[in-house]
Amino acid sequence: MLLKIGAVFLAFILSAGATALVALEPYGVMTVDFAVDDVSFRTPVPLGIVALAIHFVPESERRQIRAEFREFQPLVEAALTGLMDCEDGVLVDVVDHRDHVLVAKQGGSLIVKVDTSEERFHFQIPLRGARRVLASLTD
Amino acid sequence: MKPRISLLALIVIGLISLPVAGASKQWLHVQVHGDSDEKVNVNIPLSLVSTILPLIEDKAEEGLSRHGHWDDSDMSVSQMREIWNAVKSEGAFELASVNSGEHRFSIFLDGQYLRVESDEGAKERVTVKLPTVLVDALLSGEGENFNIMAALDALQNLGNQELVLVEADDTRVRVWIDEFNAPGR
Repeated sequence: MLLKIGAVFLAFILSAGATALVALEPYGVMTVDFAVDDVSFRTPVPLGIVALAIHFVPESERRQIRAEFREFQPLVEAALTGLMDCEDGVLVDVVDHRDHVLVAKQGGSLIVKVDTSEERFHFQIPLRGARRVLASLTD
Repeated sequence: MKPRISLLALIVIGLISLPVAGASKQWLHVQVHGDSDEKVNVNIPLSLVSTILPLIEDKAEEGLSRHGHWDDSDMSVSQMREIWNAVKSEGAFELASVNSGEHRFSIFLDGQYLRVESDEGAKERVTVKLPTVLVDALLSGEGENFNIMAALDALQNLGNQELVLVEADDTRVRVWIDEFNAPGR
């Protein structure tokens, strides 16, 4: 009996996990990687979770964010769409002695890399997921 | 049966690729190289510009019009337009020849291009080649407005070509347009 209950419980968890994965998958994963002095940090952030978390922001706060973002929304959406539609390639590449800044579009993601002698900041965001998150922000 | 399927596939592929075919594949490249440790490469897909520009057209035109200064004397867009039309009506001729110490270059119109070229033996090598259609388009606005959208359209129709090349001492500045997403191809 206990075994049956355990099996049902496990099946429920697995199916819930699989459903969540399927639901979050279209958003993609944003990667943040930075290092300053002796501290370094690297984390993948599933954008689906960001979109989900937005729903838990109090409505009053969301209304304020929406109001502040409304002015820039068409521009940001157009930029994301434009980037999604263009070919992969390096957009900006600046080298100044030991400092290096790179902005590129690769495989549906926008990549920003800033490397200086003192710090490192790498950031990769799937464009389609970013647009979905913005949409959920303004829903 | 097979030819029908192939025909259907061709029609479907054709319909899908229509919007892509309409979009510009051109890239505007700006390359500034200093000594071996300094370089700036900016590569802008014109399709991205044409998506964003309509949303900021007013601000861009306002900003560009406001900065219509040559040296210390302000020149309005309408004055530029008048001068350009007058110059163009003269056909191909040399507009100016500048000889100031190290800077020796000529500005001339050759029908299709407004050119700036350094004289032989000048320390700096300067080549600016602006297609007249681009200047025409930029100045096709009304009153004190540039027509940036028209200039962008003209730029997208130019085909692959170099627009600016300046080589001086350790610095090299190059602006060109082509269909490649990475410089040097």
